Amino acid sequence: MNGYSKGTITRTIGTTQSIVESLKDDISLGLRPLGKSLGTFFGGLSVAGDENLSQSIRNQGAFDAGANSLSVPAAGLAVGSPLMRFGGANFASESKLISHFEKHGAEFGALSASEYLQVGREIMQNGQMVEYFYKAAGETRTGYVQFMGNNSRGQAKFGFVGTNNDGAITTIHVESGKDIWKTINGNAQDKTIRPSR
Amino acid sequence: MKTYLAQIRHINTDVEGEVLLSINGVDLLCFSYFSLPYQAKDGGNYQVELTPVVFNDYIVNELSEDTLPSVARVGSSFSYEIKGRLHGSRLDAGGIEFEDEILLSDFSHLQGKMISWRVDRIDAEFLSEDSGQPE
Repeated sequence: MNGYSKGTITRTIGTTQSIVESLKDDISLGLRPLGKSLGTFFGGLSVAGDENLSQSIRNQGAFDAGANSLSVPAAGLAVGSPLMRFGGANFASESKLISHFEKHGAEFGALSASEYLQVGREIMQNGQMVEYFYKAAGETRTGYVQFMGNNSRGQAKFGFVGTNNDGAITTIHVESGKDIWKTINGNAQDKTIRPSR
Repeated sequence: MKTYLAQIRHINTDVEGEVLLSINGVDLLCFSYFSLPYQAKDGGNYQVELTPVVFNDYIVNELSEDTLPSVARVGSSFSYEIKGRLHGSRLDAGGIEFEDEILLSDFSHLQGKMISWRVDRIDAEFLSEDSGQPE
C-alpha cells in the first residue's frame, strides 16, 4: 500500500439507531430506561434457554439477560410471554449461525452471535410474515420483514429473516429499500407487503 | 448502472446469497439473495450489476495521488474498502466502477481525486442466465 490518508471525512448521513437498539425500544412499552434493557433480556433469555445451542452461545445469552435488573418474578413472566413465541427459532446448525453472524452481524450492530440471533428472533416476532419465492432454491419460503428506518436518500432499510420449509432460519440480514421488494415480490416496482398471518 | 460479465468462483452453500465473483480479474465476495439463479454453479458466467451498500455512515478519505486503485475486503464480513478516483457518482477502482449518488451530492469537493470508501456490502444482481462465455 503506498496510499496514505490526507484527511478523514466522516459524514453521518441518515444514520438511524441500530435495529438492536430500536427493537429494544419497540418492546419497552414506553419505559425507555427499562426498555433499553428488555430486548437484550428477552433475547438473552431465549438464547440462554435454547438447548440446541452450544454452551458458549447460551452463556453469552445468559450474560445478556443477566446484565439487566428485572426481578425473578418478572423473569418468570417473561418466559411465558408472547415475546418468547420465536424463542426457539434458529439456524439449522450452530456453524451456520456463526458464519452468518460473521457476514451480517455488523449490519445490525450485533456484537455476538447470540445478539445476532436475538435480532432475528425479534424480527420474526415483531415484523411482518410474508411468503416469497427464493430463486436460488427454486422454492416458496416464509420470511419476516421489519422496517428499520430511512437513509438520507429516502430509502428504507429493512431487517429480513428467511426460513426454509423445515422452519429453520436461513438468513438474517439487512435489505435496502430498493431490494426488499425484489426479494419478497420479485419486482422492484411492487412495493406492497402482503402479510401472510 | 454499469453491468459486468462475472464468473462465479464459488457459491457458499452455508451462507445464503454469498457468492465469490471474478470481474475483470478482481475477486469480489458479493451478496446476492434475490437474484442468484437456481441453476447457478461455480464457473458459470453471468451478466451482473453491482451495488455498493452503506447502511449507516459514509466513511470517505482523500488519498495521495500516487495511491493505486484497489478493492480490499475488510475482516470476515462483506465489508470492503474501495480505493479509486472519483468521477461524478462513480468511483473508478481500476476495471470496476462503483456508483452511488451520495458520492456526487455530498462529496463534490473530492471530484477527480483519489479516495477510499468503506462500504458495508457489495450486492450483485444477476441479470442473465449463464451466458456460457468465458470471462
